[in-house]
Amino acid sequence: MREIFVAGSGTVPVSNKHPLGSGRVLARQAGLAAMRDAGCTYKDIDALYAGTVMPTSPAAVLVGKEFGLTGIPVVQVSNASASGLAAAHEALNAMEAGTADVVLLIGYDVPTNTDNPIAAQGYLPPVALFAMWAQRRMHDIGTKPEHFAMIAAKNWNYARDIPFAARRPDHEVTVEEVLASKEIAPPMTAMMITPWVYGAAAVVLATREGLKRLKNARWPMARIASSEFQTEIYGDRHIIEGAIVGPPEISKTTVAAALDKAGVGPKDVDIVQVHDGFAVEELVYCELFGFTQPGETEALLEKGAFGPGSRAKFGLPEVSTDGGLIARGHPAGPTGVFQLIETNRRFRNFDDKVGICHLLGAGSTCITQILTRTDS
Amino acid sequence: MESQLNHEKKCLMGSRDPQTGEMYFPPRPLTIDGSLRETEPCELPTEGTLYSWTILGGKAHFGQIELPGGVMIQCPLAPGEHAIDTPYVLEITGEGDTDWRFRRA
Repeated sequence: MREIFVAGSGTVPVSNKHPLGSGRVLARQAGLAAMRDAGCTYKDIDALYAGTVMPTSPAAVLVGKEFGLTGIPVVQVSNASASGLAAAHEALNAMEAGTADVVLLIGYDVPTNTDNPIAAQGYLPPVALFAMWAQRRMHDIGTKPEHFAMIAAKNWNYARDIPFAARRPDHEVTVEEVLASKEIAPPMTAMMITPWVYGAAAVVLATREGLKRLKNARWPMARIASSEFQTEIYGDRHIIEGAIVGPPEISKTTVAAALDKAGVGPKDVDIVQVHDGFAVEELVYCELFGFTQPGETEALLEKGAFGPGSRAKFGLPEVSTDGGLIARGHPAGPTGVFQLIETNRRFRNFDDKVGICHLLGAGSTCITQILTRTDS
Repeated sequence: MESQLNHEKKCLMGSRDPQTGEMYFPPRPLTIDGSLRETEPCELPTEGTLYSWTILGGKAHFGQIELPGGVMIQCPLAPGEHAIDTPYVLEITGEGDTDWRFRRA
């Protein structure tokens, strides 16, 4: 198996202020920043992989032209919210197959109009679905709105240190503040929900051989140890159409398979970038990933689990360390790329060694990548 | 798309795996196990229990209704107080194919 590393990264701010139609510009800025960070030019790139969702975001082949006309393959991948990790998954397959040693991976989404492709498909609004997850959990487990607010406040506060985050509060966000924000669909309030934003992010992926082309490659680096891609399997109480992400169990099987392929287990995981589009998701997924048992998570949240210091205090990973979809934002195509970037940042700046990147795509798909820190 | 609502029989239409008896909603031409067996149309029960619910924007009521036989339906609810695990019934609200919702029994 070839070793594949996240060797450089570049971002533009996640924001709802980017002008419609500015996708090529933002993708170019993120891609340029990533190549400069890695110390290479577009001549060093063997293939461009792009994750994008919005139908009117620019085509990847046009984004590629922004960097040069060098004849390399340009592959566009769209898999709803999971598009960034889906593009990474396909890039990894190509690199594993030996067809590329240095890949530019870009996620971007800035459409030319404000149409919402999910709403256009007639689906139940995502917030309503996840509010129903929350209502059922409150009925079955006794979860309180405060527990969802604890997750949201944690993620908002993580984003205070992330320069490109969409939501960067100038104060410590409290549980009370989250609960007092506008009610959208009980028990979900506005601060528990990912905002509608645009953006772009890029990384340079390289094999060990490819690193020789990158002048700025520096250790430690995140190695992508495994990538797992699953779609839903029919089960009890299955909602075939209308569900945004399918049954929660898809996350359990996908993450378990990814951990197994990487040769690690839940107890080895230091950090998790999770699909926290809605606060209830993070709570449910932490149990499905094997970190906690159903019913014990709420009490652990009350003590500060999954936030700063969680590993030392509870033996549990920190989750959504850049603010996640709730606070860093979920600009669709770039989200998975932001997760890879955040994992690399944590490996370089903290004592973290194993990370999970996890996203779901409407329809339903689940993609998970396990990253491990490599020091040389 | 084939209508999901049978006005004459005042019920929702699903499909059934002729081999296992498993029912699906919305109706689908083939079973879910990948064997490519064709399904047959079936009338769905008009009463079930509320699995979960929410109210979007203070006015749009949504719910998940679990019908006998294991079918789960995600749909609008009639306005009112909602309670998980209580009985709900199909309510036809007009002449159109989408003029239906569930209400508390």
